[in-house]
Order: sequence, then structure tokens, then C-alpha cells
Amino acid sequence: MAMKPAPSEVPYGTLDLMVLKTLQALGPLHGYGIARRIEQVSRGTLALNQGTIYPALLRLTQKGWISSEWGTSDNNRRARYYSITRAGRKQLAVEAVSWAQTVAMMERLLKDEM
Amino acid sequence: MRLRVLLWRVLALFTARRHEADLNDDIAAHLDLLAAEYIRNGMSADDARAKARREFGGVDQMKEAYRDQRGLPLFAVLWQDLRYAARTLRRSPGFTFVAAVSLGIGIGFNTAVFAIVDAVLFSPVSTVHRSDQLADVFTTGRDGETYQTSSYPDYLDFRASSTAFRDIIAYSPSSAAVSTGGPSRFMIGEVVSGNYFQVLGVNAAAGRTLIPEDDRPGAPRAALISYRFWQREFGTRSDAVGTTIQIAGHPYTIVGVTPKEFVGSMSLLKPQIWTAMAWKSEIDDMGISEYVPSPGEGPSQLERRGWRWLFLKGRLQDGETIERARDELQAVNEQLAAQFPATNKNRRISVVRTDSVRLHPQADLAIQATSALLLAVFGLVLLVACANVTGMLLARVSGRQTEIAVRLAIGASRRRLLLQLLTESTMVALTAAAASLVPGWLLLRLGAAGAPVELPIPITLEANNIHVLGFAASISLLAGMVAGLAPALKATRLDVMPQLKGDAPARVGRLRWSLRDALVALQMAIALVFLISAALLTRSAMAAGQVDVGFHPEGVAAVSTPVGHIGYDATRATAFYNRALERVRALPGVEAAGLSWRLPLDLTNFYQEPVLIPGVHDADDKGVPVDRTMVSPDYFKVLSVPILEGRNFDAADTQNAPRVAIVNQAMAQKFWPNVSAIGKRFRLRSQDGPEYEVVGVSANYKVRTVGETSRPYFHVAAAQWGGVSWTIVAKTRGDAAALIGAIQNDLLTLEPNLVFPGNRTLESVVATALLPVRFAASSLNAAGLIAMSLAAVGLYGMIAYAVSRRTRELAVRIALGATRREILTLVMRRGLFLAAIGALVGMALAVAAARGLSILLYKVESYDPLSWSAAIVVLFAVGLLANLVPARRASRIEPMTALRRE
Repeated sequence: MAMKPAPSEVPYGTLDLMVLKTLQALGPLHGYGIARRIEQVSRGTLALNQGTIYPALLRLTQKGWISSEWGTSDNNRRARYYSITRAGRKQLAVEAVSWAQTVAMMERLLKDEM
Repeated sequence: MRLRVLLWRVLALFTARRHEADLNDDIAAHLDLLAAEYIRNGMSADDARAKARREFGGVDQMKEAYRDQRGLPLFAVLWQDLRYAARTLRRSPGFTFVAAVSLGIGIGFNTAVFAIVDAVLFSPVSTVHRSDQLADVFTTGRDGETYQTSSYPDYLDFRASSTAFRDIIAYSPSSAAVSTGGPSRFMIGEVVSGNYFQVLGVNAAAGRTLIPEDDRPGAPRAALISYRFWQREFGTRSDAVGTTIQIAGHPYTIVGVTPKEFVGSMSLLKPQIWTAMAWKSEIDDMGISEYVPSPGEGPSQLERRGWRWLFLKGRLQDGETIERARDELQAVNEQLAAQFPATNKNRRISVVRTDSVRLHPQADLAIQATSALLLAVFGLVLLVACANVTGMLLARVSGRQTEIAVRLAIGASRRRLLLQLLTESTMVALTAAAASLVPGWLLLRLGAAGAPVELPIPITLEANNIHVLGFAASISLLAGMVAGLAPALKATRLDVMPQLKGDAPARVGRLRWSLRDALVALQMAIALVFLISAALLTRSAMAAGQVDVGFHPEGVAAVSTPVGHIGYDATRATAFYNRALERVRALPGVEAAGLSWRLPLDLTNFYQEPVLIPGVHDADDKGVPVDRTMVSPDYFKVLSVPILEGRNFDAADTQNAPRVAIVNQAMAQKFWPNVSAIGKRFRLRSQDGPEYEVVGVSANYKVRTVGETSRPYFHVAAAQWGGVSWTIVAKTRGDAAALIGAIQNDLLTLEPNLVFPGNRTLESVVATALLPVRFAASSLNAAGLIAMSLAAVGLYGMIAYAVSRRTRELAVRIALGATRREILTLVMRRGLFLAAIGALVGMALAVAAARGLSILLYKVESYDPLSWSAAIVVLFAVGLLANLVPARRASRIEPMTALRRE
């Protein structure tokens, strides 16, 4: 039986992209929702300290790619709901292309090597 | 994008509290949701909560990362340091106070000196409309100097023909006795052309400015006064306008007040009175004046093309250049040279931007040099203050080693601690600066108010003077850094473990040379340099004050009577002076009266004439320049200068008689050593020049400066010289100043048109000659006093601290039987040792300083034993005193109490 690889750290800079994509796909979400979604999609391949999502959210807010609004969570707590802005969508498109290129390049490189 | 992020972060600084609360809400909601999910999956509430926390990760680390992302970390650190520093300083008020006082004195004096320098060098040249359009116009002098004054007729021609200048104004600084009813004050003003204020674009703060109508011949006498004058004499009452005041004895009506910020055209002189050119003859000018005879012109100063005394300033037309303006005026000047060769040949015109001139293009250099010297001297005082604070900080560092070790141990970086400690010393310096501004300001106010004469440069330390405040802030920051750097470096280079274990040894008795000791010794050394310099100069000033100038200035009045300027020829002048001297001699109290061309010690007249001795000098020899004057026979009696050999001039020495001269002893010695000079002959200027026979030898007296050693001087008979204008000198048994007025009134009955451009008592001439050495002595005395007090505080602090650190050791000594006296000696020895080292270094430095001062010294050698020993005695006396207080405290230590506390 092949060894299941240990969950890896979040590669540097990819968390921002994941957050943007999540918000684009699912609409406004609070921090918990975003973290859950990323964990689900990674299917256990990613070791995410959920707390690290918050500095990332602040970074994206400062850059103007996401915005936030106060709302009430499912269990009636005050929580911030984040949504992607127009600038954020543009940025997502740019980064998605560049990410795809990087992945394709890495794939070619690694296949040739093996 | 980056800018946007920065802006966001800066804004977040002000809303940090709200952001923090929001983040806490976010975290709480997140943890709740996570825990709720685990409970749904069947966990117990406690387990769910714990797992949620694990899943979330470290809350505090996340918060820290979040904060770094949100705010400006550097700024936050700085703020933290500032608060920490403030707290530390509040906890040790004694240290803070002494450190702040030390630095405050240093900073305060430097700021005051800078305020003066700033007023001289950096204050606005003039607060006039568009000063960038203004240019100063100069004529070369007879001696070839570039930036000299111009005559009134030339001015009128320049003004009429220039197209590059929209208009040109003429002005000259003036001096006069001014009275608003009470006693007269000597005041500096400006005599100005009627268009002066219109061209400068200056409006009156009250009343009106002078206008061209005020400058017509026969117009009523009008004066404009400065805002300062208005404040001081009239309390800014509006009824000042219209009041009549006496200027040089004539009634002038005040027509208005200049704006507060207006400083005239020579800001350095701070003129207070402006009068129109039309009344010039009543008021003396005091700028640069040159006179060449101009045949066939009217008698008054305004009519003479050869009388150059006016400064000119023009306002350029839009688009015109300095160069065009100069070329144009130069062309006018060439026409004038053709038309009036006697007065205008070989002159050139220079035009300089007004904004680039402070006082005068040539004077500016000297002023800058003096200012730099003053700043350097008081900079040294600040250095002493810094050394003081460094010493105190070093003391604190050893007291705070445990605290610093703890902070290093729990992970504070060295850089972080360094910054922290520097913040502390800088904060002390800034506090000191703020505190020093108040006494500094008061001092300057008091000094300005208490001065017996109107200060030529009023010193203002106004809160809105951004230069001065900026300077104070910068030197405070610098002083804080300089004072704090060494202690901070030392503190952070600490071995952590022994400190924490509590067995770091407090320094014990032996003399170990530390940085603190070196600093105290250095302070002592600098203080000694100041003390020795001050002592030498004070002795010089005292010696100069008592010096025998060779003549008796007491009761001698000198009244300048330029009758040549009111149209007299030689014949009329001779008749006038014969009668004038008769009348003056008849005045009550007058003992003698005579004529003189030049006054001894007069700084404005250094006239020399080449002297050639037949048979000694060749035909092409240039001769030996010797100071020369022309006098009437009674001159020697007025000045009480004895004729030692031969005879005085007498009535027989007329134009037709052989030319005769009276030389002083120094000249006789120089040209005819070892033989009698009587009957010897010399020629002036060349071997074909006029020949003189020596008929008398007078005693030596001071000619140019008090400090000179017997300078050769010769007198020619006034009657043989044939000059027209003379200064009447008269000696009275009474008050010389009163005699001046009496002579003037008397002469006016003889010649109502007479003007008196220069009246002085001989005593005031001598006092002026002594001014430089007196000024240098008093300012160095001040610097020496401050440096000595600072050094005393430094020594006191050092010894007091050493005693407090050695309490345990001293207590043990006492307990083991050391007597009080032994303890006293033990402690004192150290302080006196430092003073001795300081004195040695200081003496070495003072050798250089004394050599530099030697040009200012009078009748005192650079190595004057009295000055040196007095300074050293003062140093040790102060050192002893600073030492005694803590030493006595040490000797009173109660061993039991002290040991129990330790």
C-alpha cells in the first residue's frame, strides 16, 4: 500500500489565491467558512492552522481585493463576512493564469526528469 | 497599490483598539463554529473546545502576525520605547533633573548664541515686497574697493537714466540723539530718498510712510519710527502719530510707524528712525563715506558729486537682468566721468542681488567668521554638558545591569535595547531643550532691556522663529545621542549570567580608570581652558582700562565743524576758526581749545604718509609710511601731551614760513636714533615732496589702538597745511558732553548754517577702542563660569555615585575601625586625583588656546603666571567643594544600618 504523504505546509503565497477563489466560487463567507472550504478541497493534503487565515484576510483587505461586512453567524454570533471585490476578481484571473503556467511548467520539468 | 496599503496601515494606527476588538470577535465566532461542528460529530463540549483551539493554532502568535500586518511595526516600537523611557525617567526624578539642567544650560546658551547668529546671518534681509527683484548698486572707491557708496548727484543721474530699473532708492544709515521728551538716546536710523517706501512696497503699520513730498526742500520735518520704538516709547498708542520728537536737536513730526517685521535696508543695524534726504544736513550718516573735492559745486552733501555716502537699491523691471542694469549704469557713469573727471574718473559700477547680501558684501565674510567662532566656543560648553550626562548615564547603567540582563535573557535583541537606551537620553535632552528655552528667552529679554545703550542687534527669541527652534531641536537630538551612545553600548555589552545570579561585584576601592573618570577629567580640562582664557582676557581688559594712553581724555570734547561743506574757502575758514577758538576759550570752564584733523584712537582714521629722509632714502625709494595729523598749537595743551624737546607750533608758523613738524619720541628714535631730532629734515611722499624741519619732539601717546607699543607719529602745523575743515578740541574742568552742546550753540551764533557731523568726547573714543577686549573678556568669563559649574556638577555626581556604590565597603571599613577622617581622605583622594589629571590635560590644551588669544592680550603674557595659577586654584577649590559633600556623607555612614540593608 502506497504511503499517504503527510499533510504539507501551505506553500508561500498560495493562501491568498485560495481565499480569493473560494470567495469567488461561494460568495460572501466568514473566516470559519473559508477555512473549512479550503480544508475540504484539499482533502486532508494541507495542514492549515485555521487562524492563519486572518492575517491573509487582512492583507487582501488592505490591497482592496476583498471587502468585509458584519453579519451574524449560524450560531448567532457577530462575525465578519468577506466577499471578493471587482479588483479581487481581476487579480484572481491574473494569478490563476500565472499559477496554471507555473504548474504546467513544473509538470513538464518533473516528467522529463523522471 | 503599495501606497494604498501604507495609507491603510497609517489609518489603522488611530483605530487600533477597534481593530483589536473586531479581531477578538472574529476569533471567538470562529472557535464557536468549529466547536459546534465537533459537538455535532459527537464530541463532549470540553473536548470539542480543546480540539477547536488546536485546529485554530496559536491565538497569540496569530494576533501578533495580524498586528504586524495591520500597523506599522517600527512606529509601534518607537512609541513603546518612548513610553518606557518616560516611565523610567519619572521613576528617577533626581537623575532626570540634574541631567536636564546640565544639558539645558548647554543647549540654552547655544540656542541663544545661535539666535544672535541667526539674527545676523539668516534673518530676512528685509521684509519687503518681492525682494528677488531688488538689487544693490555700488560704485568703486578711490582705493579700488568694489562695493563702495555713491553720491547724491550720481544717484539722481542713475535714477533718471536707468530703464532696466523701474526705480532706484538711496539711503544711508544715520545716527542721532533722539528724545521723546526725556533724556536723549543715541539711535540708529536711515536717511532715505522720498521714493524709498513706495519702491520697497512697505506700508505703514500706523499713520503713513514717508512719501516724495516729504523729500522736497523746505518740506516740514517728518519722521517714520520703527514698531519697536513705537512699542517702547508710546506703548503702541495711536496718538503717537502726529507727536513731535527731537532728532539731533530738531523737532520732527512722527508721520507713521513701520510694520513690525520691517527691518530697514540694513537689517543688522535695526534702524528705528527714518527721515527724508531733504533734511540730511541735520543728521549724521554713518555708513561708508568718501570725499574728493568737486570744484564748482554747492556746499551741501546733496550737491557734491565727490561726496560718496549713499547706498543704492533698485527694483528691476519684469524680465530685466542684473547684468543689463549694471551695463546701463556703467554707461551712465562713463558719461559722468567725461563730464566730471575730478570726481568720476576711474569708477566702476557693481550690481548685486539684494537677497545675496547680508550687511555688505565685504563685511559679510568677517561676520560669518566671528559667528562661527562664537558657535564653536559655546559648542564646547555643550560638549562639557554632554560629558556630564554621559557620566551620569554610565552610573545608571551599572545600577541597571540586572534589569538589562533580564531583558537580554528573555530575548530582547541588543539593537532593540540600544535604541531603547538612546531614546531615554534623547528624551532627557529634549526635555532640557524645552526647559532651557524659557530661561534663555528671559535672559535675552533682560539682557536687551538692561543694556545702557540701544543694542545695535536686538536679539529676539520668538516662538515663531523656526530656525532657532529647529536648531534647538537638532542640537538636543544630537546631544542626546552623543551623551547616550557610550553608556548604551556599554550597557548592552553585558555578560548576562553573573548579573542574574546576583554575584556581580560592585566596584571596590582601588583606582580603576573608567570612561566615567575620563569624562570627569575631560570636563575639568575644558573648564580649565576656559578659566585660563577668561583670566588672561580679564587681566588684559583691566590693564587696558588702566593703561596710560599718553594723553588725558578727561573733559576733552571734540566737535567736527566741516565749514568746507558750507562753502568756506581757506581765507574765510582761517578767520572763522580764529574767532571760533576765541569764543570757545571764553566758555565757562574751558581750559584750552585747539584744532585737530584727527583724534587719537579714532578707529576711522588711520592716515599714513610716506616719509623720506634726505641722504638715507634714494630718489626712487617709496619711503616709510608714518601716521600723520595736523594740529594747532593748543592741541598739545588740550590733550596734555608734553613737548619734551624743542618748541611747540606758534603764530609764526604760517603758510609763508618754512614748514615745521613736531614728531613723537618713537618717530625721533626710529629715524634719528641716539641723536637729537631737532633741526633734522624729512620729506613727504617723494624726494621732490614738501620738506619739513623737526622743531619739537612730543611724548609718545596711543595713536591707533590701546594695545600698540609706541607708534611713530608726526604733527604738522594746521596753519601751514591749508585745510579748510577742522575738528575743534577743547578741554573743560566740567562735563565734556555738556561742553559739546555749549560749543555747538555758540558756534551757531557765529555761523547759523554750520552742521556738526561728528561730536564725541575723547573718553568715549577711548572706551570704544577698549570695546573688543572687554567683549571678549566678558563672553569668555561667561563660558568659563558655565563650564566650571558643569564640571563641578559632573565631579559631584561621580563622587556621590561612587560613594553610594561603595556604601557596603565603606561600612565594613568603619566597622573594622577606620576613622571618619580616614574615610573622608579615602573618598576625597579619588576626586582630587581626577581634578589633578584634568588640570594637567587642561594646561596642555590651554597652551594652544593662550597662543591663539595672544592678539587680544594687552600687557599680559600668554603664560601669565597670575592668570594661570588663579584658574588652577579656582579649579581645585571647586573640585574640593564638589568632592567634600559626598565625602562627608560617606564618613557619616552608620555601619550597622548600611550593612543590614545590603
